[in-house]
Amino acid sequence: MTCEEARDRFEDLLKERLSSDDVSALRRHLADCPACSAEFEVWERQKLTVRLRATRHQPSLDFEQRVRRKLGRGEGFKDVAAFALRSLWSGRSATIAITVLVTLIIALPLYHKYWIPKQDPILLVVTESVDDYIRIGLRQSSPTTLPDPLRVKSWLENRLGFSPELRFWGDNEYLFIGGVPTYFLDRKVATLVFKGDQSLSTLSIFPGSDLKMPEQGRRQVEGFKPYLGSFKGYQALFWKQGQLAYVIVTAAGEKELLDFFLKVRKSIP
Amino acid sequence: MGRAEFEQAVLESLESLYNISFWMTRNKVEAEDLVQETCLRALKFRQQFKEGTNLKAWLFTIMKNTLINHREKSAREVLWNSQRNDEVTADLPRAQGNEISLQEELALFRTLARVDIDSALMKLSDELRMTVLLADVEEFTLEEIAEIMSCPLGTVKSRLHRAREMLRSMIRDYTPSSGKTLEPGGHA
Repeated sequence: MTCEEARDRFEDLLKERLSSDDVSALRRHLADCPACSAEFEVWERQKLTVRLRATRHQPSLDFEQRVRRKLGRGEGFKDVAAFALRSLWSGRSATIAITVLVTLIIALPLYHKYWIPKQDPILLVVTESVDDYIRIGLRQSSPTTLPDPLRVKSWLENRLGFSPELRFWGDNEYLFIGGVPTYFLDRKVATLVFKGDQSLSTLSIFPGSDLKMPEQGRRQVEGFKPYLGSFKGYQALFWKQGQLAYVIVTAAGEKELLDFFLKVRKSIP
Repeated sequence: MGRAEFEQAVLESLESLYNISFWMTRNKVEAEDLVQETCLRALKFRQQFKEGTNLKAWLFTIMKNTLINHREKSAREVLWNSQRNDEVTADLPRAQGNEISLQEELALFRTLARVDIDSALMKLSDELRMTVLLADVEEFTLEEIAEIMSCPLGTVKSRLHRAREMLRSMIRDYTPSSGKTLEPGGHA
């Protein structure tokens, strides 16, 4: 057995996946070859070190329960669907079931169109921008270098088809750390991310000439009257300026939110 | 295999899936999402699982594919000007003038702390790190790793060899006298 052949079998030797003949041949080689023997010892130690000393990341205690619930939920739905299909195609009730199904198919769109009240678009802006904030915030790690605002702006312009008008691209208190195109209210949105002292804030900019500012829920801030909403414990500040609409979402307190708003608002021509 | 039995078998691999998932995403929420999606996909496509084969390896294959999908989606969606750690591939030649004997190397392995091992693993590229973790921590065979990583057996062997050489190189470089650390980017 050559040294190369011997070293190629180290893995299988440890996992006891060699035939007895191969094990004997390899053991003989290791006994005769000090270089391979030493190499095997280091190799085995390294493998053991990684196995025993690398951190074994453990899921939280309730994680298994959560996965179990999710898997169970899938079962419930599939069972109901299977039962419905079986019922549909067996027995005398088939005609009734088909009639009910056809009625529902026709009635549901009409119900949605005429009976369900339309949700206020500004509330949708708040909920969707908060959802984006959570999604982006969870992914974000501390950047090692800060992005060039001009590059991000031009990158967003190319993807969105409009220019996110803004002159405030961060300062010492609110570092600008990135931009991402998102999508809500059936329109493209430029979402910029700033890192404050305590938490992240997102500023979403999108075409909003068709949106109306709500009468209620507005705050007086140095002559400006943005709308303040909240969702899932996060605050969102919405306002319009020219053809564009702006919404800031943050986990920070109201004072920091309004401070950030003023910096952004005053910078826009 | 019945559904309940299959579900139980999936849950038995949960800790292993989470461990590797966390190593690859380095984020609790993403790691949990990835494992949950893997389990749901496994359940959805459980008819495709061949009984008698290794379920755990099959689950890891699904998780690897899911991770790749997430990464591709994420790459399309987000522009971060900061350098992502997972794009950093350790490229470490052996330290010049810092040759140590195999015996010294052996002794060094015994003294390494968990944080040093973790740090050295983090300096490997995603593919190399996943290969070495599957082989050494989860103890998959090379053939199973080839199946999980969807690559030829020879590629797994060369990746494993390369990963081990790089880890050894980093560890050799980390002698107390060198004054160097295993922190990412701190080897130079």
